[in-house]
Amino acid sequence: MRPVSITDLMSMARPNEELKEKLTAFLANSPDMCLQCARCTSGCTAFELLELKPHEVVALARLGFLEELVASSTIWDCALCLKCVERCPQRIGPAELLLALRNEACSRGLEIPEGFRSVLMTLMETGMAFPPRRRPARDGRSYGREEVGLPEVRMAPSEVALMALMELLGGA
Amino acid sequence: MSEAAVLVIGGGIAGIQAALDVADQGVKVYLLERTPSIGGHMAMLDKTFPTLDCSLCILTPKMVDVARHPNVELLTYCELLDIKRADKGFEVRVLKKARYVDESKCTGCGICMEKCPVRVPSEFDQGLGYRKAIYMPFPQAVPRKATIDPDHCLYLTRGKCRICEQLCPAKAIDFKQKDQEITLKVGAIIVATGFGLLGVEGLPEYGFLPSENVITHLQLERMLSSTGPTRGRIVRPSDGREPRSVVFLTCVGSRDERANPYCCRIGCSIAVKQALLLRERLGPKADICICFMDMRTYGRGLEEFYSRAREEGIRFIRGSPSDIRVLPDGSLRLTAFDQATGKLLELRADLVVLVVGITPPEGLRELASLLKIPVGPDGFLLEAHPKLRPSETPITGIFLAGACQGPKDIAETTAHASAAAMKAASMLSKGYMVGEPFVAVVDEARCRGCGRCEEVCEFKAVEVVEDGGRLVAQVNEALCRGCGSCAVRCPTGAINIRNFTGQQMLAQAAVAAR
Repeated sequence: MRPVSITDLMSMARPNEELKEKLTAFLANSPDMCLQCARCTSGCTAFELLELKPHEVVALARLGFLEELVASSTIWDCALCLKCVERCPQRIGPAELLLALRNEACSRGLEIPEGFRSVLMTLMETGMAFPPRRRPARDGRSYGREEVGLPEVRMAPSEVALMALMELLGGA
Repeated sequence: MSEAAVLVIGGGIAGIQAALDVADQGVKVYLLERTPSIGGHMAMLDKTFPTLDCSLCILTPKMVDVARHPNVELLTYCELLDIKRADKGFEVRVLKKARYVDESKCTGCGICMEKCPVRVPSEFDQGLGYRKAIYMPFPQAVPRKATIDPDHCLYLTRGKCRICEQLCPAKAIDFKQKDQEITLKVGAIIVATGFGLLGVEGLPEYGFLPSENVITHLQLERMLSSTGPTRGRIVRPSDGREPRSVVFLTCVGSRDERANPYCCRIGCSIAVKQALLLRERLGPKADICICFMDMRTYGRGLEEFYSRAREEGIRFIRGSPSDIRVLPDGSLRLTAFDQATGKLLELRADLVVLVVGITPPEGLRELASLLKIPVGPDGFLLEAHPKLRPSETPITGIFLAGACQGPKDIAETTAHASAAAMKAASMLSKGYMVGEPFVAVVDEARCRGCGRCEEVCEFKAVEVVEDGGRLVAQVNEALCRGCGSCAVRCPTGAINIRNFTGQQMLAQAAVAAR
């Protein structure tokens, strides 16, 4: 690890180089490559929701100020539309960085928003993020799968599959 | 037909390139250099961007080529005294300063430099190392001849010592040598005086820092060089330890209304280059940080170079530090506002490198007034046309090469110098000149031969002659630059600029005011 010679004079925080290495290892390109063009923010679908804008998230990660990002609500507000990943001229992909930050927050057992928790529960119970529902058609009427001749979906996940998934995600 | 010789003023890469290109066309060249060796700033560099070529490895072959060229006469350790317009060109007086060493005998063995007891801070090493009172500025100096510094030599200042004289195996030391004056006749002059570096004394945020650990980029360049004062080792000047963190400050005095309002063009690329070289020398553990206003690594291969620096973990912070404080252990504390994160950062550095701005070289204004060529508002010499005649001046026979016309990198400098050489050589080989139509004309009926026009003419283009028993002014159209001084001075209105007469101006004014 290189010596850290930077201090944030407002919070007296020091960059966390180890965490930076861990969280950016799977990105196509390191946030070090960011030129701060802010194209990610200019086209961001969730712009109005975000306290920290995508380019600011990358800038903080670049300097190694990741602790405040892991604890930030911003990382949960991203809609994961992946426009920023497609359009980043340096192939950094802020959305992927946000995913890495979410994973870190989860593995630390930090509070996650209620919406995500309910999706998670459905997943555990049914094996799906969203259970099959009746959908409206052009004629204005709603149809279920069986009415249009689609086979029934098996709802409960197998014990084996659930265990495999848990293992993949690294525990509870 | 002009005098068939060219004077090149300045022996840096611009002057060397221009001299070689003129000489290759069969024209005699005098290459004038005020220091003991040619080479200029390029000789001080360790590596060049973006290819990281060893600077001296690509420069020294050219230095040797120019010194050995049959058409080139090297005039090193010489000062320009005076330039006069002679009818077919210029008459140049040059002061050949005494080296106190017979150049025809000196073999450059270096024994004198080893034994000389006087140590002087080396100009070439930017004050980081020492040279002796008898010295060659650097090991690859051309000509490879020793020079005695008369201000520091014990014999020349106090009448004692003479060790070099006793030890010189070639008996080359000659304390009786005197400064000599040489007169040259040339048809064209190429100005290639290069650039200077800004002093930071006038900038309160950088000046007056009581620390040796704040150095300029040129000092770092000398430290990086394997022939430099530290043999390529990177150290903190205060204690000789290897720095673990280095902060670069770009735009020091550049883009600054208090110093140089213009961009130095090469500072960003220099910072990126030096940061990469430091990464190589100090290893992956060193924290290297570049604080910048804008990163202007323009040009071929330079954006990729900047990318490489980011890949190699060089920190880039958009925000210029303001407070620099020296800590008790000799390291430095800087505060910088990072615009990307909106954080006020404190940076701790063992070494701070100032990428200082580029200025016109010392004495350029005096040279310009001697040559009667215009100077731009930035203090650099002004070209005849900013797009189409970049290496010519408005004065026929005087050409510009390299950074004396404005900041340039090495590639731009050599291209500019080759262009100046081509222009000078083609002017001489043509044997005639194409003048501008806007020259002074004399209405002989009105002229009473008072000679005031002759007095004010900067270019010696007007002369009062006897014609049919009376005195009358005569204009040499080849020398006249159409400046209009004579027309203003003439008491009878007898002398006017062709197509710019008072009547024409009044008529234009009348239409404009209609």
